Amino acid sequence: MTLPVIVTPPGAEWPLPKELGFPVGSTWRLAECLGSCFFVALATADTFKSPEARTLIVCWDSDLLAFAKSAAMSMKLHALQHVRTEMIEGQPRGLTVKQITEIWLGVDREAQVEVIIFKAADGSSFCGIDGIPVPSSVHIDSLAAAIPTLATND
Amino acid sequence: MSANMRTLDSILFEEEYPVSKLLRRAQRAGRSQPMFVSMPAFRFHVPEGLGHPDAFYSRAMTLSTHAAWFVLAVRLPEPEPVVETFLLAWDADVVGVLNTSPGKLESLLFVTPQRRGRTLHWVTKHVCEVWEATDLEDDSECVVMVTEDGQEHSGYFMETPKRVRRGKLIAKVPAATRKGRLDS
Repeated sequence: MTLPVIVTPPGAEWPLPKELGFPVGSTWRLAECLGSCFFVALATADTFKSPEARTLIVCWDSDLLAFAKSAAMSMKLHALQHVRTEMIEGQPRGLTVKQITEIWLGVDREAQVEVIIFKAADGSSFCGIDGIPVPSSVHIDSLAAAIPTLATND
Repeated sequence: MSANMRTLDSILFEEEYPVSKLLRRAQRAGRSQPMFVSMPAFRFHVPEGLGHPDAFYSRAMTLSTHAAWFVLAVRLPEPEPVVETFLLAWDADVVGVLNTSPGKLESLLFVTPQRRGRTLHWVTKHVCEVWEATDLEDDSECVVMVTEDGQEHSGYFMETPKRVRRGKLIAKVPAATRKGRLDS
């Protein structure tokens, strides 16, 4: 189990002139992901001042779902990728990128908890902040979001 | 969790950080380098004593520009198999980490924007070699990344450079970690 957060070490800050409007300590040229995976979302929303799509790097699946379901934001996901540290026989081996095409809601009947399921363009599905295979005890319920398949990886 | 969701929702609703406005200003000022932007509402509170006192822990970040950025995984020289994953905004920092890290390069991706019609999207490519190089167009130093198809990439958008001369090989991704990781 890893901690799904991004940490910005003190020496990695990119200080900007005050007139650019960013508070001190909010802009960085390097960050470290402590978790085993993260999402890269390209999205527009009614609440963004610019119509241009904005990129969000999100560690928690529940945050991503909250953005997508927010009535106030009316967020539209244009592309969604999932970057994960691949584990082979318990050993971390490189990075895998999956293009997400659908987000589903479900319930784990054994654990009695809601589950967010991600369906990838290669047909695989996973869930949870560590991107584990969907357990057989999960009942998939409803489609939460569908994402275009324009993003590519090779 | 629901309280956190509301906070995150409200910060994006209130648009406290006008990224596109910043970018326009930064471009006018000749400072359009990409960067990661953290927000107070994204903060992940780490109990005192558990985290670095001067580090900022967050659940999410945004990007200030649509320039290329990098995901670097490094295996640390520890008894346990620990791989650290870094997000980097500048190619020069990728070289800096590779030159100074005690760990071994495990995997390197670059993520670059591509526009199809009116739609912007990201393209992610696995890098197998990183080179110091010279851009022969203006005789400037640059970083060249070679993807698995042998294609060279360089610059703000990791485009195919017109004329570069490779210099020193900075790093090579081990073949063992390049197997079986693609999904499309």
